[in-house]
Amino acid sequence: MFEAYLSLFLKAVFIENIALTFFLGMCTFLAVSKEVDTAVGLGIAVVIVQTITVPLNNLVYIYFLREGALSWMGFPDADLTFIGLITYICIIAAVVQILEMLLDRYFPKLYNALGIFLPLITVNCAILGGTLFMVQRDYNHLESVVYGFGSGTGWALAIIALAGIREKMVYSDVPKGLNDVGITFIVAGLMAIAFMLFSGIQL
Amino acid sequence: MKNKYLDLLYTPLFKNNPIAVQVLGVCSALAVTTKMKTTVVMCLAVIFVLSFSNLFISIFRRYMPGNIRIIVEMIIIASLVIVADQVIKAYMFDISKELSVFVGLIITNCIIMGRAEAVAIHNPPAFSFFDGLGNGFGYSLILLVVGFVRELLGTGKVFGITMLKTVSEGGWYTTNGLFLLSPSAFFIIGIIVWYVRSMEPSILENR
Amino acid sequence: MKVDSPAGTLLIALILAVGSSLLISVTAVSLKPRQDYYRELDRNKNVLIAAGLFKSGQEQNIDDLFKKINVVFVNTETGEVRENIDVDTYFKNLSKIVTNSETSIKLSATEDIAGIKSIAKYVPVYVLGDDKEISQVVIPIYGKGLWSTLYGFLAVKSDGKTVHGITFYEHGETPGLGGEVDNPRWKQLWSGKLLFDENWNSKIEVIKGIVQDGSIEAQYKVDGLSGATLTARGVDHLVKFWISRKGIKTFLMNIGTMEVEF
Repeated sequence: MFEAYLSLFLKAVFIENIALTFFLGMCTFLAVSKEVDTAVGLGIAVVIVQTITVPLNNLVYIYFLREGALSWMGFPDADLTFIGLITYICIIAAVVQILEMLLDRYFPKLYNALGIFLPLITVNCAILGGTLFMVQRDYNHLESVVYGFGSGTGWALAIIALAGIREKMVYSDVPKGLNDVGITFIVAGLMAIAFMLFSGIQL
Repeated sequence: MKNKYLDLLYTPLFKNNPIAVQVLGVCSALAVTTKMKTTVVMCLAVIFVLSFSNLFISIFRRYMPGNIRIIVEMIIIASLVIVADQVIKAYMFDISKELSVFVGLIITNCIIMGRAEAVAIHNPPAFSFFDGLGNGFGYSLILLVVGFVRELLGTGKVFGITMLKTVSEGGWYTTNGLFLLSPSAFFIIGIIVWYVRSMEPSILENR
Repeated sequence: MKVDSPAGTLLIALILAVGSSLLISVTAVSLKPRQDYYRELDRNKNVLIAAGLFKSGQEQNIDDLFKKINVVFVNTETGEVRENIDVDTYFKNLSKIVTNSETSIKLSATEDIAGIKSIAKYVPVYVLGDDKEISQVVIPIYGKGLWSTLYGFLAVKSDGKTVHGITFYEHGETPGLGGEVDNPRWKQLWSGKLLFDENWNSKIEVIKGIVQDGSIEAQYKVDGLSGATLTARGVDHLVKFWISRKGIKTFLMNIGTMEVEF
């Protein structure tokens, strides 16, 4: 039993990393990953938000939106999956907003450290992507917690590694047009190839 | 008048290309560019959502209370994406299976929110609509190039039509499987960005 | 009423909520019949693809081609065949059927190699042929891949042992990697492979790497998918499950004794 969850976690972090295999969360990834410190801050924020929103959306999906979900309310034939997208993004926005307020009130140092990143997370493709994959794969409650934590961690791992590489690259001689964005893409591509070697692992 | 709109359509193609210059909207783009067919549908969806969201947000810009402005924009964008998703599922069922969750992810596509905040909130509807169209075209241009290279070199086909006869069909071309995998999209965009930025020195001056 | 006041904010929020709900609901409800029709059509098309009867560009003929196919329901415990059960209802209500203890059978952990937890007591099988002769049968197969449940069809020739074709019409695997199970070139590799040996021992296998042609064992093995080991393994397990005694092996062994009219 435990094995299945561990394998789900490892799959989400390494084998099909949400940033390097599915390209989700790239914008912030590319714009922010210049320094390891900021990357760590953003990574942690993403892990927290992802671990909260994926299971939360899972509850909403299972008890409200899925076909037959509303049978406890007397509407066994209702299929509200089409309204899913709006619901999930609103829940994500709400969670981020509440998190911001809680941090501001109880952990002001952390709040200041994360600064502008928290609102940016709402439009991070990886967050919504995690929820959408959870819906597509029909996870149960515990699986969605594991997957939320796993995909967030995978994303954080990718972004911190990329920031580390970029910090070192300041000392390299990159052609002018390739600087900044261009070389980051190429480095990300190489990282993606490196992560692909995990796909041969048998769990 | 006319020049302004043409300018809006032309500038995002190169000088202010959303992907190459503004570095927005890359996420949902790359995973679907393994085939031209799916790429084209994705581009049409983005052009649709981008132009109409800009239009509606611009129309309602004076009626958006400050503290829920972002959410209002998001709901408008999300509604348009859902409409696009439903239409694709109804009329192009095969392609919708391949696009899976990526149409839904257009909601978080940074270009749309980015242009909404930068342009639609401050400008009249017609201007915003054309800005949306222009950026949609700029985005599509990059995606179509990536999709073309990936499908051609990865399978020897374009739109499913054989251009380079592959070894398994009795031809000469050994398909390069790397192009069907994620890293190739990164490399191709990196090279495109390099090209665009080298061509437009004005961008480099700012660095 | 000022836009930025609490009352104004509430009103705008309300208008927005109602407006967008209306737009989305109208679109979804009016398009749903079309979407359902195409989902069913796609599934039927895949039955034909597995059977090798579908040429691309022939979308309009699917219903005609389908009229020549008989659908029977097979009892997964006894192999007994029954007719007159509606196949569309089966697919539509699959998740309800397999969770209802009256209509389903639970699988133990060792039996459940496909990761599907339970199966229906009666599963549909498409039977094709001419006059009184059966040419092939198409069985719905499904099981866990890397991420999602893959749904597909396996077409088996009338000897019950030789694979005619395989397709997967629904899955959530990674495009370009696990999604390659849907690639015609990989599916083509299954054609002609043997599921069982002469003594009906299950021998079919998806291996890692490429099969060495020429050896006797090659007829039981299918090439793996590079970069998609776990998805390919999922396919290996689900095929093995459905052709086992817990699936429809008894039915496959008795195809020769079946009486059907076409």
